[in-house]
Amino acid sequence: MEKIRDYSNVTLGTNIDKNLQLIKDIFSKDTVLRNKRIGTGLGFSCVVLYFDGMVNVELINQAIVRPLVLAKNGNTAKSREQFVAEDLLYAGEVKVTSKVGDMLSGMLYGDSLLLIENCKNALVINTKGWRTRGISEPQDERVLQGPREGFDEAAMFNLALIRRKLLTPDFCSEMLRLGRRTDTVVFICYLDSLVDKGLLKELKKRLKKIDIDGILDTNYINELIRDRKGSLFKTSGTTERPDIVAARLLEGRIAVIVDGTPVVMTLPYLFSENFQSDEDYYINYKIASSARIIRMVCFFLAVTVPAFFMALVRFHFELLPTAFAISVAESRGGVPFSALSESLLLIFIFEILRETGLRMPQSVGHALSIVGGLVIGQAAVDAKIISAPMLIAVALAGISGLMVPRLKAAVFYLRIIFVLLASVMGVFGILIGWTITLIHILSITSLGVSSTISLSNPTSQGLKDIFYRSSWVKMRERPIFTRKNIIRKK
Amino acid sequence: MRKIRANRLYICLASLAVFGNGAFAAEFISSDGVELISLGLALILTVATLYFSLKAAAFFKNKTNSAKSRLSLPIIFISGILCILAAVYSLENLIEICANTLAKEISAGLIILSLILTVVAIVASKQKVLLKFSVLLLPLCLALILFIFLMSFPYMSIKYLEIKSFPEISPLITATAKRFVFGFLPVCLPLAVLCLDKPLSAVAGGAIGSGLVILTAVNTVLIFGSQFASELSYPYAEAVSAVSVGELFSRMDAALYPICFFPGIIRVSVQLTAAIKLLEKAKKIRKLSI
Amino acid sequence: MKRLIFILLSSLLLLLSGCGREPDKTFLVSAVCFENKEGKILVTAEYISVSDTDVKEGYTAKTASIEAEGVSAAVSRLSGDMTKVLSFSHCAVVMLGKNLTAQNTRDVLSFLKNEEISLSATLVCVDDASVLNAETDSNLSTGYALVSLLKSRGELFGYGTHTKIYEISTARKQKTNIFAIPYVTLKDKKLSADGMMLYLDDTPRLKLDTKESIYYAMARNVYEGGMIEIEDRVEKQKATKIKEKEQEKDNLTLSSNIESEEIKNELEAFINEMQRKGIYLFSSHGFKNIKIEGESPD
Repeated sequence: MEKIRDYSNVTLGTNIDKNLQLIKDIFSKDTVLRNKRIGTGLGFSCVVLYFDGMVNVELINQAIVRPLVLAKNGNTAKSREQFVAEDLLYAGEVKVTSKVGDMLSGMLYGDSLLLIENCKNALVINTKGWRTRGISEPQDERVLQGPREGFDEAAMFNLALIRRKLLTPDFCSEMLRLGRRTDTVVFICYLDSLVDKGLLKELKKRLKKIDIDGILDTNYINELIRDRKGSLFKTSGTTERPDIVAARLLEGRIAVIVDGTPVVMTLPYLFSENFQSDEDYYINYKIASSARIIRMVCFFLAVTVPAFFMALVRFHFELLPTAFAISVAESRGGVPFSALSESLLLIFIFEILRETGLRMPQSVGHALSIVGGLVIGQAAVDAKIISAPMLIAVALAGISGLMVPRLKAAVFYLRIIFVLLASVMGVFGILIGWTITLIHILSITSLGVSSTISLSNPTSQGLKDIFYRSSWVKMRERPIFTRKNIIRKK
Repeated sequence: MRKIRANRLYICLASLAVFGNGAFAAEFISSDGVELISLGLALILTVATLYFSLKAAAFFKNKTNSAKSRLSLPIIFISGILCILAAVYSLENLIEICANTLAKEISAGLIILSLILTVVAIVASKQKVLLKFSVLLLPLCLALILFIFLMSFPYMSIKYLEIKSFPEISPLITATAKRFVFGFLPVCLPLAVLCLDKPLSAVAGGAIGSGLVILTAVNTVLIFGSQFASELSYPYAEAVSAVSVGELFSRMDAALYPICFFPGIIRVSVQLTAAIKLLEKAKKIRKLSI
Repeated sequence: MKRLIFILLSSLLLLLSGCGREPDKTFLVSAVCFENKEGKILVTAEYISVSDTDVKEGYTAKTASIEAEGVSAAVSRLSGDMTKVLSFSHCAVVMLGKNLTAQNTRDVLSFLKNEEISLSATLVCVDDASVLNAETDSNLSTGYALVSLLKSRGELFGYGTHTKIYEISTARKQKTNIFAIPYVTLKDKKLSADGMMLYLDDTPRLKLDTKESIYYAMARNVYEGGMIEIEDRVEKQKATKIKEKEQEKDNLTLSSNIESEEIKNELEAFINEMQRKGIYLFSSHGFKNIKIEGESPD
């Protein structure tokens, strides 16, 4: 593998022109590096370097260039660079360093570099000014009631959004950089008095082991540190909403913010979170509970309905009432496909329609739904290519699957596996499938914590936010993995 | 009560293990009230045996003295072998239920393969997973059994529960002994091994499991009477097949599948897990002795 | 290794996915009739044929029959002669021909237990399989029409409601091997179910008319209440319960909750008549005199 040159131990000399040339040589193929020589009022010259598009140019002019040009009195006991940093510049954050590695990190993240004549140290000044999307409501996490803020691609800004929710010195954030070529800024956030130190240590250990070219999204980290690589189920939570992150931090979880993506990861992740929605805690607990139960039922239906129908039709025809059985037999007469191929075909067609609806522009989406509904639904049944009961079963399963978007991958694959099992062994096969699936779900861990930890010790408090949501009056304890400080409310 | 509440995991496991062994090992082999009374007696004996076997197992638990270890080594080893035999017997029983009742149109080889794979998957995961699995399944089985019982009301005749005269002692003892030894005893030893730290919970679980067995037996007898049941291997399955739910389903067999299947799988898994634990312990003691 | 196991299992799963039967590849049997024809078993099945080509035709009920030495052989041969497999899972009625011997009846009942016929199918007695060609007043097959007819008669008269296969099998296992099933005939090409056929030791012995069937149901404690003809009027009678009160040598006293004296007397006469004919409704041996008293049983 090609080795990237490490500048962390390279230092500057005192000759400003040689220092300038060094930086230019490092970025010789980069066309957006700008530099401006400044003749100060104190008799020495400086050069400010920055990447165009990443800095606030106006700030550079006002906070760096202007004070240097207008400087008059330079006679102090301090060193030149300290005098400039502390007494001249109007910038908020200034770091003095001699290491070229630190200078490059700063410049690449939107800071400006000030080289001073006859100084080995240079100044890294915070002049970040790249454009961001601004606060907008996340498309996939809309709520009817509750905050509508969403993260954007700037990690610092996202951190600020979370900090606004948790006005406590207990809120900690640690920065690290991941990715050999991208040097992505990653923040680990937690509440010091609530987090399990063992979990934190484990997470840091896993993050340090990451050795990859670039981290562009949270999912890169997620796949690199997850407990079970091949599992269909999620082992980390993701969200684009600061209120959700704050709520999870208050339960003792750890948040991972990655620069360049609005998606923030939270760990550990419990299996019951797959059935929670963002507004569960903002609406009446009875409605939230019923919605949660419906989601659980929908997950079961999404996976089982096509398989169960297949099992009934091929193996357990006696279970159906006679009139319905005759109707099913009638509808299947003349269909060229077997029940198995028909159901697999319909599942794939449904997935194609769903994906296409997701990617298409809105103007085309309407026409697509008409095509999907009329052509496939009506015409195919009339033409005896597919049978109506199977279409209804697959459609019901498909719609139920949309209720649990966090289990999308699991639903898709499990549905197919269950259909195959049902076609081989009927309801017995479905039972075998569910047994093995349940065993897998019960064995999943997230950062070493079992995803179904509440079932390990099913106390009344532990179950109050799993299958249903109790009112805030009754939810006195935090999730069980915050072993110390488990009482949330007195 | 608080102590028992804290060990719900073990209660669920014990309930399902006893139920899985009881409901379908309880063949009705004679008439005139013998089967019901002997079933009740066998279940009482089960709960009592569970309690005393847990006490006995606790006696051997904390042995560090090598002489006593040498004594306990053969006992533990033989217990491990007994658990394996019990697991094999239970698996055979489960295969028979699946082949005759649940999966009639599927080849026996496929049933055997799928059951073995499922049991291996459970035993390969930790005991914690087995416990959590039983916590999820017990309410489901309970709800289904109650549902079937309620739906069977129109098909029941209370006169079948009438015991006109108390049966003779000798056939009653034979029936009880047979039910106890072949039906319920194979589950006591594994539960004693697995529930060593939570004895009261295991006994409570045994009582709940026994209650479920009695409910299924009574359900069958109320529909068919005891005489008809003597010709059928698994009368509960036939009873459920005869029940239809209004206009919704012709037969209730769909509800029967989870009730037959899950407790049976748990039963085999419990026995195998206990066997592995015992043999590991025997191996450890042997190393220490040497 | 894991990958190899995964590939093997998925291949096995895909290869074996051809198991099972599609519903359009089977004929659903709605009724089946077993008769004795010169020592051989004649099986006639009424099945529902779903049209493959034109769904607007709906379904039609057809019959097919075959003769063989034994019950199982006859059914297998019948299935073999058809273009599709016969499925008995929705069979609603099992008809026993009047001329079946005791052994034939036992063979049929044993066959029913082993086959996939639901234990809730109704048993009836017929003269022959011509009943399956009856005209029905709906689009249903004769078998399903017959079940509806028996149900409405049961609601009207209160007897004949406990004649499912498992109930008959339970009754056969009592000390006295007596059971009665509805007797169905053809009258002007329409189904008629007046009365029951009484079986003793698995052989049809006595035809009971409607009134006798009601008293039989009362005696067996399966009467559910309905209309009953007394002399020149029709009375409504609630469900009855009869219990053995006292047994003294050759005399048996029963207690019942029947309020009407006329019904009680007629029932008493019926039971004693049955005793004289050798049909013991209450025990394995005959009593000289059976009396019914009017106290309500507990």
